[in-house]
Amino acid sequence: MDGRERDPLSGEPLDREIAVLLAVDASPEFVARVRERVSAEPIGRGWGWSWSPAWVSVAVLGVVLVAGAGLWTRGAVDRGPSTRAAADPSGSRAPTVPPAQVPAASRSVAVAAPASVAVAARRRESAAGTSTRVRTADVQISPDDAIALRQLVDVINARRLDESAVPDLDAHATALPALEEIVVDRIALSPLVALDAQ
Amino acid sequence: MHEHAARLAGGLVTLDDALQREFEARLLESSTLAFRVAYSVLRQREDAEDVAQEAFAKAYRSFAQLRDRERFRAWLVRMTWRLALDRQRSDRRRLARESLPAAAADATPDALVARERAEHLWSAIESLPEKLRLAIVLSGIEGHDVREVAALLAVPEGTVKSRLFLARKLLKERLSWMDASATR
Repeated sequence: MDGRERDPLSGEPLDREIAVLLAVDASPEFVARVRERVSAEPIGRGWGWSWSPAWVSVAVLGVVLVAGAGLWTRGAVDRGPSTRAAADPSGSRAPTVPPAQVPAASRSVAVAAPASVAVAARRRESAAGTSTRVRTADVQISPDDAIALRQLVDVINARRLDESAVPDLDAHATALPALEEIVVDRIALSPLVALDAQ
Repeated sequence: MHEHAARLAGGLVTLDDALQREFEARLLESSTLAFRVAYSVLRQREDAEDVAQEAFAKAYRSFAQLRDRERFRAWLVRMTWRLALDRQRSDRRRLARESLPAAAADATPDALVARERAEHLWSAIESLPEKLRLAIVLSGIEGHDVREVAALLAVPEGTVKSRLFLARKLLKERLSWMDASATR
C-alpha cells in the first residue's frame, strides 16, 4: 500500500483483535489540555539555545579577556628586572631586597639574578603557592662576596681588567701524582667444611 | 549594550517560536500514539490521558534534544510506557476497568462473549514479558509495521520480528483454550 515491507503475520486474526482492542481514541479535549499544560512553562531549549550566536560571541569575548589578562601578567613579570636596571642610572645592581627585609640572622644581602633566573625562580614560587607581591631574594651571599662580585662585574664591563692581577691558577696548582698500577693479591678461599666432619 | 540585549531577546523569541511550532506538529501527530500506549497498560481513558499528558510535558521540557521526529516518537513511547507502568503499580487497587463495565441489561449474548474474549486477550497481553508486550502493542497501534516498531523501540528490525513472533506464539497458547471451547 505504502510501498513498505509489511509484517507477514500482521493479517492474522490475533493482530486484528489486538488492533481493535487498542483502537481507542483520547477525548477531543486531550490535545488542548496538553497545550494548556505546557503553556505554563518555558520550552526546553537545551544545547540548541546555548550554541546560539549570542552565546558564542559572549564565550569568545571571555576567552579574549582571559588571554589578554594572561599576556599582561606575563609581560609584567618579564619586564621586572630590566625596568629596575633602567631606573638605576649608575648601572650597578643594587640588592633587590632592602637590608631591613632580610633576616638579620642570615647576615647576607640579596643580589639580583639575571632576568631568566629571576623569572624561573618566580615561577617556582608561584607553583609553590608563595606570593610574588613581596619580592624575595633570588640568591643570597655574604656582604663581602657581594661587594667583590659587584666590583669584578664593574671592572669586566669597563674592560679595565688587569690580567696580570689575576692569579695564574695553573702555576699554583700542584702536579698530579703519577698513576701507579694497583696490584691486588689473589684471595684464596678454602672449601667449606661440613659440620659433621668437625 | 541595549542593542545587543535587544538582539539577544529577539533571537530568543524566534527560537522559542520555532520550537513551539515543531512541538505543536509533534503533538498533533503523536498524541494518539502516546494515548494508546498508555491505554494499553492502564485500560482506563482518563488515566491514559493523564499519563500521556505528563509524557508530553516532559518532552516539552527537553524538546531541544527531541527535535528529530523519529527520536521524539521513540522517546515519547518509552516515557509514556514507563509512566503508565508506574501509574499502574501505584494504582493496583483500582479494579474497575473500562473494558469490563457493569454488564448492561440489554447486552446481547454475542456482545457479552466478545467482551469476555477481549478481557482474556488483555490479560494474556499483560502476562507477556515487558519487551514482547510493548512490541505487540506498538504493532497493533496505527498499523505500525516492523520497520516502524523497530524505530520506535530503537532496536534492529530482526529483533522486532523475533519479539513479535514470540509474543504471538505465547498469546495463541494462552488463548487456545478459549478457541477450543468456542468450537465445541
